[in-house]
Amino acid sequence: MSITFNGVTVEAQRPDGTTRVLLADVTAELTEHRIAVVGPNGSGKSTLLKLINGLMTPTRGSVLVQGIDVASAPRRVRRTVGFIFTDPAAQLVMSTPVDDVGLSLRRTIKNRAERRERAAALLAERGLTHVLDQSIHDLSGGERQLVSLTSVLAVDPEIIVADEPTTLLDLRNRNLLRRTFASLPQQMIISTHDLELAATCERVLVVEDGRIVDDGMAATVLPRYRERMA
Amino acid sequence: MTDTDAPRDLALIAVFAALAAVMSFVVIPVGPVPITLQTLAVILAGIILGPVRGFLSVALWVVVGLIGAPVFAGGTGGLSTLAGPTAGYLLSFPFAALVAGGLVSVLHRAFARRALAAAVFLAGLVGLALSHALGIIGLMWSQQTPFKDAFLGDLMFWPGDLAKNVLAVVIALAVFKAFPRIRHGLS
Amino acid sequence: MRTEIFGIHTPGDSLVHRTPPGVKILAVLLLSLIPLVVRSPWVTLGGLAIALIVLFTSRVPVRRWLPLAWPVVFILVVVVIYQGIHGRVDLMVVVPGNVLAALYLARALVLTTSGPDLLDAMSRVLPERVALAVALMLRSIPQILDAMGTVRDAARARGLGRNPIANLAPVIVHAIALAQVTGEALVARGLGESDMLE
Repeated sequence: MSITFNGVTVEAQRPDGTTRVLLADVTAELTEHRIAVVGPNGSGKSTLLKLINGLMTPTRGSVLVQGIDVASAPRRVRRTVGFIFTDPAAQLVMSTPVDDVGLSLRRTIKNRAERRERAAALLAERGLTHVLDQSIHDLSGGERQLVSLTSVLAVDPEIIVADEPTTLLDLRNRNLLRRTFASLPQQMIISTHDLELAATCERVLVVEDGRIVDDGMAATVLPRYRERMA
Repeated sequence: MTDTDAPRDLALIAVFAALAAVMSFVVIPVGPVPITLQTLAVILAGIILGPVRGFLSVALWVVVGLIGAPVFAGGTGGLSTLAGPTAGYLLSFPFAALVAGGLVSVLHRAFARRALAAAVFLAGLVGLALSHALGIIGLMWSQQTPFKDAFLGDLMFWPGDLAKNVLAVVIALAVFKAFPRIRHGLS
Repeated sequence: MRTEIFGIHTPGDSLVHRTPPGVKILAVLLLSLIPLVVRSPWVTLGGLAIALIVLFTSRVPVRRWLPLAWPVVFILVVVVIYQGIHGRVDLMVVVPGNVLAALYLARALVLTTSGPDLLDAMSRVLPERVALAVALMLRSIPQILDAMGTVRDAARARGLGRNPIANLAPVIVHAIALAQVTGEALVARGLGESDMLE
């Protein structure tokens, strides 16, 4: 498993025509199983994550996922990278969990009844049997985030990228999601303000003003980060 | 056109169709006439999304409503709307969005990129006029009404629509400020 | 205000409930459109009678399907008065009758068919991207209604409770933000691509 950033710079145009640098010359090799990206709001965390599946493209430099340049084969890369958004309400397409997971399965299982059965089984694995046919709108934030995760895992991604997945959750759901993440075999890149979640990762990157300003093991980087932000 | 444009446009089209539904649920009684924010949603879809996406978005709402989802005025839906006196208005809406969306960029260019507000107001007005014209034709057909009666009946919706058109201008300008790139997909 | 779009589905085991959704949709289409084209009071009354019979056989409580929204009543009353003044008794029956027949037929469909079953039946005939757009639209409605409530509270808190701009502009801005994140999510999930059919 590897994600490589080669001198990646991302610039955006402001409405008045001037450019804003979102990410400045970032080079990194991500091979660890679980990696956290921390940093203040607007530091470039989201940009870094969205580069991994081609939601954003570098202005200069390149991003490689398993050796494939994201810019040259974005769809192929997206099939191996699952993305979890902060707000699951935006990520869920269908009105019920079983239909949403079914949507992810539509390429692999053509028969509707079989697809439903498989979707229900996947949701059951996450402890969501009781909400299969409920309206997405009536679920709790934590349940919604678990449904998004189930839909993403349904396509068997090799890498999971999660952009502040616990920000909108209460403490209990945060803990639940943290435990669920810890049990996944996929390589995970998680941006977060939740330092307990970051502490469960092997490696932590600190992003500030579009640059990686600290990088290393969670046990050494997180205390320094707390000090920086004090 | 990049490979991510189609899904992004699809999301905008679907969400604006939902917005039209929500605006239809809002009923403001003005005297005995129940006014909804439908036409505001139609004009905004055209102006904000541009002619093609605006048309598709409003058409999506109309078709989903005709199929039976309760997304029209006051939470109604179904083919019954085609049987009523307002059928012409409903069917005109996608075209009103198309015309308003197409005109706003033409007018804005004609005004040498100044006075976006005036361009939006005029484009909305022409879109509304088209909607009222088709609405009158619908009234004449379904009620076997002479033109004069249909015209007078239609007049009672103009004050509300004019007020909504002014609202559309203010809202569109706020939206263009918040999302300067939203009109880029505009053809 | 309705917060759940297919919330009026009432499960049951009547013949109407058990009829396949595709058959029901087709029946509603035909029975609603024929009186519209034929324009005879007898055909209209026949259509209305069928609609009512179907609703009674569905055994859904009457109070769940009978009430009419105020704007519908208003328009029907205006039509009846107008046609009465002009002495067109046939149109006094045909226009409101067609409206009511189609309306109650549609209600019978939605009351006896679950939302997912309806969408399922439609997606069999619709191209995948259109079905996706329909699903996305329906799931966005409660989200926008929620945003509307939040915006209204915020406007009130600022003493702008009746200001239409303060009540509406933030809703539109919120809707666009929702559409943008949704678009990104579609891209990330490989949905809605221009060649999705292939």
